[in-house]
Amino acid sequence: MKDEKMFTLSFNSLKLDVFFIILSIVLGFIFQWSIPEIIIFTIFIWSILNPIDSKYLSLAALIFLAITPFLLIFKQQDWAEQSAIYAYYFLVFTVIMALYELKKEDKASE
Amino acid sequence: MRVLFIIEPFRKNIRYITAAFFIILTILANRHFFAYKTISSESCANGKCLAVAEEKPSLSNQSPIYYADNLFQTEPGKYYRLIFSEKSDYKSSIRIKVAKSSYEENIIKTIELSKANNFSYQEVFFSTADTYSNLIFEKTDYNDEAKIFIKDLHISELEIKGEPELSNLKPTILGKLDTNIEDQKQAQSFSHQFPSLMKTNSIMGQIFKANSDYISGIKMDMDITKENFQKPKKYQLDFREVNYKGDKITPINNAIFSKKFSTDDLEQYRQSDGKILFPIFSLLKKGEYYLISLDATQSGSNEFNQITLRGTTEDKSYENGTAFIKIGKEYYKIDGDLYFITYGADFSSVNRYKILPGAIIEDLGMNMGAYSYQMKGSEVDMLDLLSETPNITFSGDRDAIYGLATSDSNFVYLINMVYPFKKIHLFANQADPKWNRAKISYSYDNINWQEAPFSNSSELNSFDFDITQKGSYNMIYLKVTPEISDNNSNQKNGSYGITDLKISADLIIK
Repeated sequence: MKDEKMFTLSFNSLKLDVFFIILSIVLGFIFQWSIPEIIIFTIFIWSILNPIDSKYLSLAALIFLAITPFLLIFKQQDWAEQSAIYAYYFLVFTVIMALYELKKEDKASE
Repeated sequence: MRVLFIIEPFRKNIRYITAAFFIILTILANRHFFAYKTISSESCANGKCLAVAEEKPSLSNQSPIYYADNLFQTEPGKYYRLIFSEKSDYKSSIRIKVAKSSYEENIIKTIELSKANNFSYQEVFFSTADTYSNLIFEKTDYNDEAKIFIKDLHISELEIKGEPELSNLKPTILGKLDTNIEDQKQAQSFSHQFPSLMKTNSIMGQIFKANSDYISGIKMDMDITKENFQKPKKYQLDFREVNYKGDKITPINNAIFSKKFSTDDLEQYRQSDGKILFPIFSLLKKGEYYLISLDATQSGSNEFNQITLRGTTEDKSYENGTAFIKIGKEYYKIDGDLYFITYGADFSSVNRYKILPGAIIEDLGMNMGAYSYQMKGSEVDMLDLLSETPNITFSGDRDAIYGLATSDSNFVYLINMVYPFKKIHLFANQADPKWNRAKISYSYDNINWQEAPFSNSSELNSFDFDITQKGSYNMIYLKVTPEISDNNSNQKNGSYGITDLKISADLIIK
């Protein structure tokens, strides 16, 4: 009986997660954002609902930071600017997640 | 159970609340998105956005009769000339009748009308066997779909004794004005959107070199972005003379024409091709440079409320001018040209001199003729001037031509009556009793001036006087100047102007 209740709650939570993700994507299309912007916003919402390990977020930030100079070398000024902005987004996510993880670790050690 | 399904996860997990908070924040930050629209010339092409405030026709299938009461009083046996202008959107025909107050009617003519976009004049001669005082225009077929517009009714009594003399009358001369004449333009390219007007809340426009003596309008292409349920942003249109040498742009004098408008007001200037035609009526100096500009400095425009001017970044698209931007007090040339077309004006003329638009010069028979002209009370009156000093413009509030009351300020009319005159009667009102008094002088050679008297019968210092002659002159110059009195220092730097100018003359036609 307890297992059944847990399953119902977990299933409902999943449904709500999916609802938030779809809502994020739909909003992105309504406001005519670019596809990368929609993806980043969706990742942001997802990371609130189901925390993503900060190391993955920092990896994404590093990738965007790394390709920025190459884009500049190849005179893709607009793309380079976008890439730098995305890197900044992921750096912010990384810091937020890192803080969350620290707090979680503190709680666990207590 | 269902309520629990929704609330339970929120209660248990703050994360959902945080996610919902960020989603709501995103929606609020983008709330303008749901309420703004951009209107471009492309979306308005083929007359899609034309203002719906249509002028009511004089005759239609709903009202097939048009009455013009108490316009005149006929005498039995006398001959009359009726002049009126008309336009019809379909081929149609109308009966013109004279009528008494007792509803007794008499048909004087049936006229076939052709489909036309512009007004054209009709002239009808008639004689009556009785006394009538009203005119009736009536569709011959009440059910035809044509919308017919009738205006500028003018009736004059002829001095002829019989119908055979009608053929001896000289043709009536009508002062006509055509403003549909393209002058300067850069109309081949308008794909580039100049965002500068919004981004810097600046003044942006185009410089062009006048190749005509008159301007009657400027057509421009712009994207108008506006938010619903928001007060429309205010802009200012300015037209002024400018020095343009190399990249240096320096304005001369005050604006010739200036108008404040909102993005909603712009729709009244929308043309069937989707572009915006600003009516600007002024004299120009051929070969001189002028600028037209939109001022967004006071507009508070933003991404969702803005005007974006269209044109091209090709600097050579228009050879005799450039697009520019004004930031602070400085004008800066921009590479490229705005989309623009300036319209000039063409007048009827006799003996190389223009006939004032709306003037009627008619042969009444027995060597007698009549001249009549009156101000129309709109900005187009500016085109009737022969010359003007800087800062003379039209006041829409007072329906008057006015200027700053400085010692060198004046504006001049040339009245070409074609035939020599015996007597001219002139009536005009002061534009504003609080302003400096306007004086009217007249001359036959534009050199020697004689001051006209103020009317004795009115305290408003209007003009109501006659000029008599022996028939030596067929033209007269009228000059309006300010009265500047050293005694009244309050009025020294005021304005002056006239309104309701009416001129009639008895002519000698041999």
